[in-house]
Amino acid sequence: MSEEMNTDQPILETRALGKRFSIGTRFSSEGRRVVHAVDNVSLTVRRGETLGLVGESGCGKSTLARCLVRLYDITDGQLLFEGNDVTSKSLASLRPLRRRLQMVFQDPSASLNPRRRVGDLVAEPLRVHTKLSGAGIRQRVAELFELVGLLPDHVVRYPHEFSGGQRQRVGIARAIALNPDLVVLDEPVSALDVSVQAQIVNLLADLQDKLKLSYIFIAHDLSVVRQVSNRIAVMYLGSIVEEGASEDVFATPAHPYSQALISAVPVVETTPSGRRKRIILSGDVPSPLKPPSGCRFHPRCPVAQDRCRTERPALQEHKTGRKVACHFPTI
Amino acid sequence: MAALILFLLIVAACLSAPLYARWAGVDPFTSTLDAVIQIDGQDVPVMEQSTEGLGLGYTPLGPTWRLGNYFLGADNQGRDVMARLLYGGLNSLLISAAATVLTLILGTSAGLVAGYFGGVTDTVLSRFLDILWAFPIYLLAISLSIVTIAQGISIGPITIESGSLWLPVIIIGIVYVPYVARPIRGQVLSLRNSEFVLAAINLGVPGHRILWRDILPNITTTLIVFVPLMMALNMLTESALSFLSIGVQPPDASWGTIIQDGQALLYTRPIVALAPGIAIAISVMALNVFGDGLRDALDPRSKVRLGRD
Repeated sequence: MSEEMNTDQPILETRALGKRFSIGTRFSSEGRRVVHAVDNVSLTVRRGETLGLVGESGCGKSTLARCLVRLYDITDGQLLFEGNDVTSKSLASLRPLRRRLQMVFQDPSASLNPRRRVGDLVAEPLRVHTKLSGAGIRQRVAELFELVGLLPDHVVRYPHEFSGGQRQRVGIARAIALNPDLVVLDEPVSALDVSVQAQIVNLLADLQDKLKLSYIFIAHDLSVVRQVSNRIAVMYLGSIVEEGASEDVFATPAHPYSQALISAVPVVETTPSGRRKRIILSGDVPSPLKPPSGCRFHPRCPVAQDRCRTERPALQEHKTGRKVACHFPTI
Repeated sequence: MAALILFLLIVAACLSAPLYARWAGVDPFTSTLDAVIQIDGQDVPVMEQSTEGLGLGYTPLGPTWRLGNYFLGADNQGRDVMARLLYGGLNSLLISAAATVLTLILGTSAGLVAGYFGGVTDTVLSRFLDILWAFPIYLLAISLSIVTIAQGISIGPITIESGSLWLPVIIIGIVYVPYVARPIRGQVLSLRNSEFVLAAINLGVPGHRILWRDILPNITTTLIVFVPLMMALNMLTESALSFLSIGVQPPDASWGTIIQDGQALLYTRPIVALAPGIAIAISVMALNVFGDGLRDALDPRSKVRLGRD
């Protein structure tokens, strides 16, 4: 009971969350197969923090994001929002939760209906969830537009009349319209130019301060994640391989995969002697249809040993706040 | 564009049918076997004793090519073919337009619901449409017509009498529903998984609102393209049914019934069958050409080709 009242209670928690997709039918040539797109993910997001989620393309980041906001049905494990189990709530009973848990999509040109004016799009959550009058909605939309750095007379435009960065601002305005507590940002800047990326990242940081938001920030660009995250989790083939405070993980990555990822971030060389060792992984990401035995990373791991081929390492806490799924972590 | 203008001219001509009838002083719906008209100061009967063959029966008056009356001559009941052609065209156009509206409403609703909600709803609706689809169009239309032609339809408070023009409208409207529902369902299925629909679901927008506000506006181009093409198809079906005397019932006329009237006069007065035939051919062709043009104009890919976003 006392734990329930704890102010440190995580806003979102997953317990061994998994998402399986079935491919094909029993009549197809290879029969019915199951893909573990997300496998055994246990994460916590605390109030006010930003959890960065990084990994290669196709590692299940977006699937996880869509499970977290219940756009996909969760097939294994549990999803808790403020301690309440929302794993299998029906779409209708999720509606109150939607006010507090929002999402920004990767590609703003796909996530904004091309046939509706942006003011109408931003007003949509207000119309569905609040009893505001027409004038009240217009006023709130104008506020939101100002908050995300758009002009009030932009409301009558269609999405295609905006640049990519402006469109993403519309997507953000829509996500924060109902004053949510947690926003899942699914690669919010990946589709944008580098110069615009910085603007959007700054906007997100400002909004976090102003509105006391928590973020789950998904990206494959480590330098962006490093800039915004308090903690980061590294994903490989549907599972978390390392989790910890952002600076710690970047300074001393403990999992061989994290080490390879972080060594690939381009840096400005200040002294010639300071050259880092670049770890280049061989091979491709294995198909999640046929994941390798034992540690899923072993076919590409530079330090893999026999044990890795047979025994799958669990995500364990090796230092305070540092979890690694590796038999031979470097901490 | 020329096709649209041509079609609109036909529509305008048919709409002026009552004007022509009053001006020419003819009644296109009652037989006037003993009528006599004046041509160049001479009295000419609209029906003449046949002089060919065995000399049996009557041959109606041929085209006078005078705008006054009997421009296209008389049919085998002494009625003005031109007036009947215009009145019949009005019926043909009305029936095909009404049937198009009905098909689009039913087909779009079925496609939207089946595509969006999926699962059992989709299976039940799609299999039902497959059953309709499995019948050849004309076989189904003819069967439905024969069943309903004698007594009309009476479902609850709605009663449609046997001679009503609504009967062919409903029959033609129903048989083409799968042809609209299928492509719409396909489009909805792909829109269902588009990010903006996921975003709407994530905002907690109820399903019916997503269908109405997010999905429907994105299929309107397809629906617009369907209108002229469906109308052309419906016009052909209506003519076929009426030709078989199971569509429009006498004394009403349509292009199909006039062709049937003209069938018996094919050797002596071919114009009676030819005129509505040509009218159908021109209208259907104009609608098809216009529909194709519309598709090219509204197709998003052709917009990309024009260099627009």
